[in-house]
Amino acid sequence: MEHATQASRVLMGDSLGFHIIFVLFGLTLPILVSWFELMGIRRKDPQLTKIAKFWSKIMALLVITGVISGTIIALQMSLVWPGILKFGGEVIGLPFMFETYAFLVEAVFLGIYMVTWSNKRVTPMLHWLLGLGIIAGSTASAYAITSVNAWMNLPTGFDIVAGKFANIDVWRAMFSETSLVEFVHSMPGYYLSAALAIAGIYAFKIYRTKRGDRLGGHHKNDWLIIQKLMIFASIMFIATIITADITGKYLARHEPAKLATIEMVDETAGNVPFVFGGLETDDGRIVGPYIKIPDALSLLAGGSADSKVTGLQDIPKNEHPPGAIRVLFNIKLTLIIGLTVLLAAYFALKYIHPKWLASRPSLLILGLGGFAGIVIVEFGWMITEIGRQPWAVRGYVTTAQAITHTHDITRFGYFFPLAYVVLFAVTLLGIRKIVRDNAVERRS
Amino acid sequence: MLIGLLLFLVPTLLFVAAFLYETYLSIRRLWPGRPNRAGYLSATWEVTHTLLVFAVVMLVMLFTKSLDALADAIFTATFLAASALIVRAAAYLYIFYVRPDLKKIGWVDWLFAAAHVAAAALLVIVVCQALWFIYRHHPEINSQFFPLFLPGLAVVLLICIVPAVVLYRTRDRKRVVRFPRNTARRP
Repeated sequence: MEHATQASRVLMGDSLGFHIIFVLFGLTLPILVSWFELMGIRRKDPQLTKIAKFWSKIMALLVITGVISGTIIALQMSLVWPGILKFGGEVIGLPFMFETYAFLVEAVFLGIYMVTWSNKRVTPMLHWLLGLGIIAGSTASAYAITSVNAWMNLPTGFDIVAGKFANIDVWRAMFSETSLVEFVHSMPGYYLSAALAIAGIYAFKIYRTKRGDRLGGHHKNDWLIIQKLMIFASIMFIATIITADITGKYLARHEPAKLATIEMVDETAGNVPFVFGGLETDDGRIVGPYIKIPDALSLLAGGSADSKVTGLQDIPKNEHPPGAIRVLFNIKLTLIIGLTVLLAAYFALKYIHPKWLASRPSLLILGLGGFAGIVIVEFGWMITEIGRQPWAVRGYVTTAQAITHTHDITRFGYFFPLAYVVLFAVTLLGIRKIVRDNAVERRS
Repeated sequence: MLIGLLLFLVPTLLFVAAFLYETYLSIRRLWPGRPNRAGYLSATWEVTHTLLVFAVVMLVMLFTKSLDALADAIFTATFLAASALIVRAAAYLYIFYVRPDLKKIGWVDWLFAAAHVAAAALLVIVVCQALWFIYRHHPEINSQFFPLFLPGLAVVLLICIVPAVVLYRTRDRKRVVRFPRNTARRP
């Protein structure tokens, strides 16, 4: 059974890891497309409208892939982990229903948005308004699913009386503090990572041209897009950092085991330092390169230097999350520092020495760095999910209890990851075709 | 029980009808000399999948208390259907987004049609297995979300009618467009 549980966790992890890439683009592209379309309308610039149209084609393609991976996740969630909904279906049913509604709104608006691009009878402003329906649908859908995850992290909206549910409040379960904290932190993270990745793609596009042409009129629009995206990404970066602080304080209050594992806090105490890097040995020593900032963890967790942080010694050993989340957190933090440098360097070069910005090394760093955001989002979700272990619904249902006991998922465990790789490859080829068709269209 | 069954059966039947039509189109494309060889529904892809997710959510939410036994009953057929759906999606992306010549018919088109048939057959089996399970075990229904479901659905349908009206009022009156074809390629 242990083997089946691990296999199921890996399969679910693969599915979520694959799907999240399409989620972050599926949430960000409608906003970016809408933004460029509106700019095109207000400035009466057909080039901006063409850019919006081009990205909307990619958005539609990514939605197709995202839809199928989302469907697979819905099936896996209910059939591989029936214990979660068997326990909490009465409480957490509302977000599932809400998500389906939001998904329907998104699908209808997306379909009509795409077919009315070249319809002369649809005014540009009306077309832009249709795009808002996609944003509303995708954002509402993201909230619903995030609230299910939040509920698994901290179940609310019910009491247990004599072993049975009582006082069920589905609204409180869906609009809990946990849901809001997770949502306001994850959304800017998605926007940031997708904006940086798209800026990175444009950086690669410029990278491929001759040195003398890179700052020329030929790339005027490319630089404009990069500039807009970097401003957008910077705003989202600041929002992510602010909400990360809120999340940290929330973790200290409600999920102390996760925070204690990430920060290697053994004893409950005040004036706890923040340790970045290093690994803890069994005897409690920290080995490897690390930086220790005195009192910083107490300050981040509770708002003052002497705030108490719960240590792992006060949490039953069988409820300790896997230590791997500390490694993931350190990699994530390193990448965040890298992104900070990237954003600062971009604006410094842009205004001080634009020619250096157009150099090959700068464009290469911008191009590759843009994809770091996606890795950060992936690691963020891995920390959230692995950090909840051994619980599926914290405090009530363990992962081992939630899994189906009659079927071994390993039979499908090889097929799905392989299928995701194929699907991903075909999606990339599809994007390449759209880009090439667009280039041909522009030349003609 | 009747309301519960209707909530599951209505989206399921709508999905089955839409999916069978897509299956028919995927097979019709294969025949040489037929009109619309390249034709297939693009804009409805998401809506069809929404109906599937809708049906799954309904099934799962209605019978939460017996979900482990229900999952056991439909497990293998559902995962085989999911596998066929992934193959179908990969083939769809290849045919309509990657391949330069839309009218060319090759093994991927046959795979596309076969994946449709397999998925359709397996999903019908899943529905039959679910209904058989419900018939035999009379599982307890979770009616917690009933009071919210219908008002919510009414609101959502109203929201969806707005763009549909836009599409209808702005349609090209010179040609009869029954279904938007390959819209993502020719927006």
